[in-house]
Parts: sequence; C-alpha cells; structure tokens
Amino acid sequence: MTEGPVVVIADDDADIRHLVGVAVRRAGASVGASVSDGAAAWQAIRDIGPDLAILDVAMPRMSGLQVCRSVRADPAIAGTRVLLLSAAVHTTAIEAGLAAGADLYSHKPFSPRSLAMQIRELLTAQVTS
Amino acid sequence: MAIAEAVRSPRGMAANRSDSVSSFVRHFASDPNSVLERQLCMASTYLVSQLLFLIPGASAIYLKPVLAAGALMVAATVGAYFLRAPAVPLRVAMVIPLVDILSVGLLRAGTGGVGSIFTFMLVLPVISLGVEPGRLPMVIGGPVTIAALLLPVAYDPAQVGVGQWSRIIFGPIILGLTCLSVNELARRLRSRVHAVQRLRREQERLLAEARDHADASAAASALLRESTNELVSVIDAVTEQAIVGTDRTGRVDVFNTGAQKMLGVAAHDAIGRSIARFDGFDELTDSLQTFLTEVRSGAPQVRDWTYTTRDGSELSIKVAVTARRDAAGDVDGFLFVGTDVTADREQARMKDQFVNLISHELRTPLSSILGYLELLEDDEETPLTAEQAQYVGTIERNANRLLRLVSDLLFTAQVESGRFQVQEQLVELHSVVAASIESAGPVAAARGVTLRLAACDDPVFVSGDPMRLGQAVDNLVSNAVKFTPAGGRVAVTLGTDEADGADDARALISISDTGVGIPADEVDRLFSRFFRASTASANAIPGVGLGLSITRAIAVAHRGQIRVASTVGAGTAFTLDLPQAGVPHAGGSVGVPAGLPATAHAG
Repeated sequence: MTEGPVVVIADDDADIRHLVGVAVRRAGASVGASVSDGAAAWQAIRDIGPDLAILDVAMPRMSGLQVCRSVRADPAIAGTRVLLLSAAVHTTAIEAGLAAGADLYSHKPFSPRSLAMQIRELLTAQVTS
Repeated sequence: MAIAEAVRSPRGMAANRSDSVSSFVRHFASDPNSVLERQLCMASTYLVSQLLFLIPGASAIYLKPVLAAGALMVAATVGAYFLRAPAVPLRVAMVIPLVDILSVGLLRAGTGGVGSIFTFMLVLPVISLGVEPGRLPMVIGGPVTIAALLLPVAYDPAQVGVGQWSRIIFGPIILGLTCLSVNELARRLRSRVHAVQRLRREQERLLAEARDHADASAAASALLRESTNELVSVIDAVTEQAIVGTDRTGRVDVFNTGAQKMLGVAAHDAIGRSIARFDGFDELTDSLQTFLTEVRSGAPQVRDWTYTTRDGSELSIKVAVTARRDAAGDVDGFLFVGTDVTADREQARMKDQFVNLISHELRTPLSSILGYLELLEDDEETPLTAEQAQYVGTIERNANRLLRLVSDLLFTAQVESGRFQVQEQLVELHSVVAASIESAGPVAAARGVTLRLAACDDPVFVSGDPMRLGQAVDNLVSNAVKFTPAGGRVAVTLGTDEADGADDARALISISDTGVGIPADEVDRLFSRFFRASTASANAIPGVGLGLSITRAIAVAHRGQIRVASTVGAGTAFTLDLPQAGVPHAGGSVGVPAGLPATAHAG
C-alpha cells in the first residue's frame, strides 16, 4: 500500500472524470479505476476494494444510488467510503443520497480545490476509524 | 214560485242556483217591477170590485168618493209604472200602497160606509207596506189606514151605530198586526237573502282565487319545464367534462354527453346503475358511504380517478364531487364533474423530464468549465499572467451567471409544477442576512454603493430552508445593489413585529435602496415570471425577470409574503414578512451565531 489510498471514479462525462481525478491526486490518493457507468463502477469496486468511491448519481446501467446501496449491502466492501456527486440540488435528492448510505453528497458544479479537501477528510476519517 | 225555487235551489245545479237566487232576490227586494206587479194585482181587484155594482142592492151611495177612488187607483197604477225609472229612489215605492189605502177608504165611503165589503181590499196594500223594509212605512201606514176607515163616517156620521165603533178600532189593530207579521217575515227573508248573497260573493271570491292559483301554478310549472329543458340542454352541451348526477344512494340519474364521450358508456347503460360500479371508482374512495358523508358535511371534494376505457387505455380524471340539495336544503344526491387531465398530466411529466434533462445537460459542461478554470488559476508551476488571470476571471464570472440562470429556470419549473416543497428546519435569520450582505459586498463596492445592515439584537427564528431563504434575501439585496446608481445607499434591516401577539409574531427583513424605482402601474406585475420593469430596461440593467418571482415563491412556501413600496427616481423598499418560529429550547440544535456584526459596511 505504498501508493496510498485508492479511489474509484465513476461518471458518464469524461471531462468530469478527469477533473475528479485531478482532485483525487491532489488529495494524495491514487485513481484505481475511472469508469463511465454504474455497472462498471460496481464491478471495479468489488475487484479493487477501494478506500473511496466517487459516484455520479445519474449514470447509465446503474445509478450512483444503486451502486451505493449495493456497496453497503455487501459485507466484504461495506466499509468503502462513498461520495455522491450530483447535478440535482433539491433537498429530497440529497436526502435520498444519504439514505442510500453515502458518506457525503456533493453538488455539481464543484470546485476541484474543495473536492480535494473533502476527499482528504473522508480518507483521514477512514484511516482513524 | 220564486220562493219555492229558492228553497229547492241549494240541491240543484250551481248554474240554476245562481239564476234562481237572483230572481228570488229581485222579487223580494223593493224593486220597482214587483211594486208594479203588486199594483196591477190591486188594480185588478179594484176592477173586480166595480163588478159588484151589478149585484142588485149593491150600489154607489155617493158618486164622488167612488170616482175619486177610481182616479187614485189609476194614479197609483201609473205611478207604479213610472217608478221603474232608474232615477227614482226605492223608498218612494211605499207611496203606492198608501194611495191604494186612501182609494179603498174613498170606495168604502161611497158604497155603504163602514159596512162595506170592500174593507177586505185594504189587506193587499197593507201587506205591500209590510213588505217594504223598515218600520217607517208602517208608522205612516197606520194613521192613513185609520183615516181610510173613518172616511165613511166623515160622509155619513149617522152610519155609526152600536158595534160599528168596535169595527173601527179592531180593523186597524188586525191590519196593523198583519202588517207587522208580514214585515217581520219579509225582514227575516231579506236577512236570509243577504246571507245567501254574502255566501255567494264569498264563493265567487274563492272561485276566482282558486282560478288565480290554478293559473299561477300552470305558469310556474311551464317555467319549471322550460328551465329544466334549458338545464338539460346546458348540461348536454358540456361535451368535454363528464357530469354525472346520482341520488342519495349513488344511483346515476344524470349522465351527460361529456360523460358518455369520456367514459365510453351510453346514457341508457349508465342511468339507474350505481356510481360505485364504474371502473376504478374505488380509487376515488375507500368506501362510497364514508366518502359521501364527507361530501355531505361540507366542501366539495376533488379527487383523482384512473379510469380504464373499453379499449384498455387509462384516463386520468380529476373529479369534483358536490352535494345536490333539495328545496329544503337537505342533501338528496351528488354531482360528479370529471375533467380528463390525461393529456395535461402527460404534458407536465414530459416537461418535468425535459427540465431535468436540460438542467443536467447544462450543468455538466458548466461543471467542467468552472472546474478547469479553477485548475488554471491554481496551477502553481505555470502561473497566469495578470492579463490571462483577468480573462479567466471574466470567463468564470460569465459561467457562474449562466449557472445561476439554469438554477433559476429549474427552480421556476419546480414551483410551477407544484413540486417545490420547503424542507423545514429552524433557521436563525441574522446569519442568513449577514451571508447575503457579505456576498453582495464586493459588487456593491465595485459599483460605489453603500451597503448597510441594521439588525435587532435578539435572534430571530423562522421555520424553513436556510438555502432558499438565503436565495430570497440574496435576490433582493443583489437587485437593490444592481438598481442603485453609484453613490447610492442600500439599507438592510432585520426586525420583528409582535403587534398581533406572540402567536402571530412576524420576522421582517427589509431591503431599501435609493435606486431608480418602479413605476406604480408595474408594481402588480413585478412578481410575474420574466417581467422586467421599464426602469430596468431603460437603464440597461441585465436580468431575465426571474429573481422576484422566485423570491415570492420562496416567501409563500414559507407561509410568508413580500411587500414592495417604490417611488420612481427615489428608491424602492422590499419587505420579506415571515412567520416567526418558536425560540428553541436551551441546548437546541440551532445555535445563534456569536459575534454577528450589527452593522456591516461595504464600499
């Protein structure tokens, strides 16, 4: 584990994936996988067992919420931190995200600087826990 | 004859009764014709009496009185004839029998004095006098009769022998009693006649009344028929709404053209059927009876009804149910008015979908633009030149503007579709207002506008969504700054109004400026979507006209309101008026931010 914490990124937009990747590296972690749909994200999470998954909510095949619920339901990977990233800003959407088991719900557009900070906090929390 | 008819008449036909009564009355009232009839009777008797002169031994002793008697009789008969003239008063009729009595007196005087057989002829005029109404004819008739009886004595006093005086005394007494009896009989008869007349008038009045009632009732039922026809035609003219009427038990008795068209059921199949047997009706209500009890008790109920037609397609129908009431105001049935909202619902769903898609599709590229701009600014290895930093700043500002517009459009669509709901929590307004002042500060400073906050010392709590409340105050503050020329002032105050008691305490946030102002005739439209005041356009102040409509929607969703007072050229003041929430218990989840600046200055 010399590379530090591993993060899986899932978003159907390649530019956003790249931007999130920059934030992840700035937070001192490495990108284990960067995928474009929910099913691939679920697969990658099970294969890699990352410290953190950053998931877009609206993705093809499996939504971020579904992936999040699946992670929480699987004892082997249930400890994975989950950060949901969404364009939706209603309180109901946020509540749905947290109810699915996400540790943090972040809005798009996001500041890479702030996201890096959030990632660092989430990973630190995991290390201490 | 006439009396007999009158006695029989009550058992006869109504028409006959009416005729016989009138003839009876005519005969017994002192009408001039009957006076003439009686006089003709008297005259005939007089003529017969003249025949007695042919009997041997009976002869006129004195010729003059006999001739005078004949002349009086002729005069009485002629008089009775002329009494029929309409101008002559009825009372005058009593003169005729008085003349007759005098005539008989003279006849007796001329034919043998007190013993004359003609004395009996007095009976006829005396009865005539008795028939006359009232006592006056008798009072006058008494002395006249006595005078008539005494006339023979005046001619020949020698005739008065023993026993003759008694005849002179008893004759008037008997005649007087006869007259009195006849008078009394006639009086009773007349009173009965009057009673009959009164009854008849009453009967006629009742008949007329009954006829009037019958006419009125016929007119009313014609009117009712007409209005019923009109109502039916109006109900049937409604072809896009289903109108179904039922009785108290839910049995259908009205099923209009719209209902037949919408539900695909013919009227003859629906009438008489229970409303509960229509497809999907149970969705309207768990129990028809419970539901109808609710309707019965008050306000109309509006429900959604999913109805499957015979061809299998599903309709969304909005049904308003009201109670039908009879004349006494009691519920005697129900009216179901259904509107097909299938197309509207589908349209709303597609619009929602579209708005969500657009919002997502616009936010994603904006996320990339803003994110990568930040990476450029943060690049420590190759920092931007001052000029490049300025360009990047401009791009960032415009991308943010675009982002706000997208958010506003999305929020407006949410409000419009009724999906905007406040997730309530206890919010302290000092922090909300301070945050708005802070974010508007740089723009105000750049424009040379003074921005001040004056807040009360005590914390002010409302129940609501802090983000939305912040958005509302942001909109008002940034508007005020935007519409105020350089050198102007924007004052924000936070206070409370507890004038109506603690239960109705209000939180008031007011934002006043010394800006361009809003013309009075535009104030009403100010909160409409996409409306822009003429002063905004004239001063080329950017905006799309969503801010105030959003601000009002937020105020309304928080059970509050927004007020505005403005003078063109002098400035505008907006007041956000929200119901205060109860102060949280000590140690509650919401803390009061410490060290809030009572006044913030910018610029």
